[in-house]
Amino acid sequence: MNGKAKSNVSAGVRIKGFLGSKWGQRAVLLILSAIVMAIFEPKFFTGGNWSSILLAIALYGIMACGMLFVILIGCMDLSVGSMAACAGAYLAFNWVNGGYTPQAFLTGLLLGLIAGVIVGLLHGVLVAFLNLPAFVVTLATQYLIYGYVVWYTKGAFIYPTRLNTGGDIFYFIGNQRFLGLAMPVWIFIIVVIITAFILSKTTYGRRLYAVGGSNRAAELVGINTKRHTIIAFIICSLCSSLAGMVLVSMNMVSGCTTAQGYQGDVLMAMMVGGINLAGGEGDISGAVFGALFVGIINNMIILLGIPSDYKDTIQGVIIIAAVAINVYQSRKAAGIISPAKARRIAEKAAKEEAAKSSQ
Amino acid sequence: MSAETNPVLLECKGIVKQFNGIQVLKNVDLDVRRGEVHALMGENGAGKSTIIKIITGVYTRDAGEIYMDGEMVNIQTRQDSRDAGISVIYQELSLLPALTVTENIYLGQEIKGKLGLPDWKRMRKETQALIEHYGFDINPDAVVETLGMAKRQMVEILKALAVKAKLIIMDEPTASLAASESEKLFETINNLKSRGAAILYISHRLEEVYRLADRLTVMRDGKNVGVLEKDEIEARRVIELMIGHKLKNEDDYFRRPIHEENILEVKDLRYKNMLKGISFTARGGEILGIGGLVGSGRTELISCIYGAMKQDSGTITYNGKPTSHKILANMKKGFGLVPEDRRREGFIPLLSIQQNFALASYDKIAPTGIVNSRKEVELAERGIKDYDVRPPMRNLPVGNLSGGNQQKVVLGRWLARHPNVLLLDEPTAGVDVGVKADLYQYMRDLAQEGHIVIMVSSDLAELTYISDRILVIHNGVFFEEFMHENVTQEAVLLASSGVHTEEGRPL
Repeated sequence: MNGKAKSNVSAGVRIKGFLGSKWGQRAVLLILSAIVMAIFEPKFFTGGNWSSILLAIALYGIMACGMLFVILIGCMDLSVGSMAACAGAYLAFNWVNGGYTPQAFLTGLLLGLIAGVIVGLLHGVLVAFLNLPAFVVTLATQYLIYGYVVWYTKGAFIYPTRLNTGGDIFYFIGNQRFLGLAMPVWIFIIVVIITAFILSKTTYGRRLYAVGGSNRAAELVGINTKRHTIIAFIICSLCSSLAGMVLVSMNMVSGCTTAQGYQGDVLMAMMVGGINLAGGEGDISGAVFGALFVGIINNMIILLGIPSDYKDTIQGVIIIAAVAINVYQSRKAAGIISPAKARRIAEKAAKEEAAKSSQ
Repeated sequence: MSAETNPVLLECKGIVKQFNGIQVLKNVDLDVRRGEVHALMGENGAGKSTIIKIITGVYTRDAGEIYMDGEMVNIQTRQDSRDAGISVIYQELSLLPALTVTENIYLGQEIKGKLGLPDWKRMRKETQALIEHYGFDINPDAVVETLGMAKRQMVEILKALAVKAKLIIMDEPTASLAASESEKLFETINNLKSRGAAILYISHRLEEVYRLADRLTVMRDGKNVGVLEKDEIEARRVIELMIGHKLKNEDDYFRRPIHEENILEVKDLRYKNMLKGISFTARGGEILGIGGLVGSGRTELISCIYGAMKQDSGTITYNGKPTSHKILANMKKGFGLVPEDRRREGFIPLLSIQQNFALASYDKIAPTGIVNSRKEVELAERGIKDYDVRPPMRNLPVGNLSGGNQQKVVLGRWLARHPNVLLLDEPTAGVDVGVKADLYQYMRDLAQEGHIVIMVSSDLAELTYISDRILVIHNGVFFEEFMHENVTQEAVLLASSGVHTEEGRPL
């Protein structure tokens, strides 16, 4: 009888349930933005536009995966943009000055990744051992790294192209297509798979949630919270390095303005994706969805011809809306309801009770 | 003064409250007379907090009437409740630590002088007058953060008195107090009572209720299941009312065999100025109770044993080998700790029951670092079943469980490892009577298996009931040792304050 009752749940109730879930809301958001675009700018749905949206999503997405680790432990990394610029500069500079050889590429790549490890390590040690707030530490290193990039590139832009580009490895990582998708998208997919695996299948990933949920409680069940913190920062910086190198290859230009302001886009992706900035809550699907949404919104702003002056305003509004929705939902999950709703529920229950007793 | 003849001050009639369609209060009647201490007891979830929140205007009632001094009052907000002369002192005190006593008392209700500016001189004078009137030992200019918990509570009480509250509600006021501090609070309460104040006193601790209460209301499942007069208040009767069925014979103590192959030895342990040379030996099969005042170094002692704090000097050896200063290494040797501050240190509120169980056992169920979901689920389901966690849903965040069930998760995840040395710090604080009995049984079962159980507790009834042996800390050293057979609560209390008794063996 129970089973039958279940199957009798009306379609309306089921749709309502779906819309209340995080997946339902994500779908609604995407469909809404698609409708807006369809009305104002049919160019949105062309293949060419989509491949450029996907490239942007891939870049935000790779960084968002790294950021996810740091946010899960309740920290934040504002230096992701500058880290990307730094790694990109290493790659471009060595590629050009090394004579466009595979060895030169490898040197640049390794330097970029090593820089990521060093910066992540520095963040981690400062936060874990000196108990400095991550916000302040990474705000400082953001300037520090950009400053370093200016010094390293002597303030000039590097254009790592040769006239006969097309076959070399530098071009490959940013532009080569494979099975219809550009290389950055493939790299993004691989990073997502690895992140998903680490967070859901390894003890390291599981323990991150504990560290972010309650540092002291995590410590008392034998979790080395300092080590977990340092590794999270290293992963984040490494992801930014990777994204920076892909970006430089994509745009064929590197300099001290590379990836400037990306930390804002990545943080927005986190908030839209429902990742709790206080730590301990959020998953890879949120990071991916967030990157997707931010990519689409940024594309809309360009396509609709909205002056870039307004971009920041629009992003600000979206962040507030995303945070408001998340807060509302967590209140709902915690059983906090408005007094008016409580009264309605009580009246309904009383009526049902009365109906039952009169039967 | 006989409370029975006193006029009724607060009267609640037929209070009903529902949340999300679930009836939490079903027609509750409650009355408090002038000049009485009226105790309110019930297990967690019986509806005590809900009725208090309705009386104080935190929640609005769905039905029912509230009278003060015979006049109907319509309490919809906290201000309504204050206007009616009701003040509440919550478990977590609401004082601002950086302000002085006077400033805290008049915060938000400042007496205005000329030009509408706060008249601090007058407020200080009023505070001084109140303090003298009630004979409190407190300085109106003291900054609150320099005060102990008991004095902070006095400040809260003064705050209520300053607005001339007719009814003072105290919610578990002794939860964070040491025994001697509680004594002071009881004196204060009796003092207030003799001056005609009415006090509604909520507590889990039976012995406090016997001492203080003139009448007692017991709640169960959102109903008032009985009001007892002073001479009717008796442990067995109260507990039966609270849990709704007859109790088994409580006197079921027996000594378990000692396992000499399982030995924890602590020698001359020193930590800052709290521990000044602590030495003892605990053996397998033994439940060792550690008594003493809050802040006497009990928590530091077991934290050092566990590796969560590092002692300045002294050795801790388990079966002849020194223990580590790393928690994980000690965990692998079979150590476990149930910390005092459950919400902050015991579990991860956002994570599910399953995740919380798994966290303490990853070294066993996922030694390679890759999680085996099947083993994780098994561990959680077994834990939920063995330790009767309710509701039995492994994906529910532990933060959403009741206090007692949270503690079952915290304790259960250690018990699932069959720890050789289990350290417990105030394991039943804020846990209701039914769950308490379960927790005691789990501790006994563990000791029966030959493991060592060391429990720190401020609850004297618990300490003397469950421990085979009790060591009492005073002034940073073990002061006296008691055996189960001849220990009394009074003797432990005296030892905590540095007074020898004939029941104890001086150390």
